[in-house]
Amino acid sequence: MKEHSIVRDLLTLAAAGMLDPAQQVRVEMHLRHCEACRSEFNDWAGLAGALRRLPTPQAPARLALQTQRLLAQVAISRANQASRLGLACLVAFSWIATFLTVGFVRRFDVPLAQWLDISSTTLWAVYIGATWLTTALAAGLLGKRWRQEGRTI
Amino acid sequence: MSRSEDVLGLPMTFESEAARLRSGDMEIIGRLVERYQHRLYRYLLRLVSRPSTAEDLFQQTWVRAMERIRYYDPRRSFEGWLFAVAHNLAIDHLRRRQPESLDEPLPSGETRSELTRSANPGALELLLSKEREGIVLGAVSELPVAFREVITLRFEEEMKLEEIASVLSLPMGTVKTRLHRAMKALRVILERKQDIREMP
Repeated sequence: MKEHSIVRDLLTLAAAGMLDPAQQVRVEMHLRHCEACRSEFNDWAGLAGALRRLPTPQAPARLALQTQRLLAQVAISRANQASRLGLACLVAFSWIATFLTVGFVRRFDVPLAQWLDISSTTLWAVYIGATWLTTALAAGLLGKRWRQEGRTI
Repeated sequence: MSRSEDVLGLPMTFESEAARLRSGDMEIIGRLVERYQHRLYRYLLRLVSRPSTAEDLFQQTWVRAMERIRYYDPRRSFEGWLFAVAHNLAIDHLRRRQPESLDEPLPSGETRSELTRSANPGALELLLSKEREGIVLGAVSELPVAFREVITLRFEEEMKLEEIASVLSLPMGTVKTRLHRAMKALRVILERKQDIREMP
């Protein structure tokens, strides 16, 4: 009787195919000689079969395409964010590079200005301009490359 | 060379597929969107019932999946991982919209757990023999979300116990208990519907 009630509780999962092999064997053995449980199992198996045959709602045809477009937009937006971050880093780097090399230029600014035959102020302006221009050029090339990568998405 | 599960229906090496997925390769993700569109949509629709909400959640699932793709462990099933992402989004949505518990009264006045207790074998076989899918579907939609979900994962998505446990982040024993209770509750609803139909 105890076995009967134990197996009866397992019938739902047996019909769902969710029992481990040992439990499955136990249920099958019991069903061989218990008509009540066999009938009950058939009911559960019928329910499980009906659930497996439920009609599948089809996703609207446009959904996959819309999702792919959305994902592409998200990817581009993320690449742009990365691009802006990269630009900010390069600006910071140009400032740092300028300040770090100030001492070196200051040491040689007078002889260098004389050698180039320009004033010391002009030398400084050229130096800062060249540093920033180089950095901006690097940023531009990097941004262009990222945009190209974004387009291939 | 090791091979992963057949995510795209094509034999791919474990290394190349995982690398492409985790690097956010849009081509492979785009193909996955197409491949899983009906199954993922069906799963979400079963959970939230409303097609427009299911569509929103479908898109959110893929955006979230893409954001987190680098955390995807290729040793896990991609399908299980994707459905887990969808599960989390759908549950968050349902919690915001309609906090639901198993003991929340139904419109009929019964509690859901009361429904799981009664049973009337016999009528069910008659009902199912007529293949009234609409009735079964209607009965499924009356189940609490947790029950609907485990039913759809098992019978429609045909996931194994381990996969369902992984999607729901639940122990396997809990999944079994939930499925058992879900089937019993579903049967009670079906039998009630049959009783109503047989009333003069």
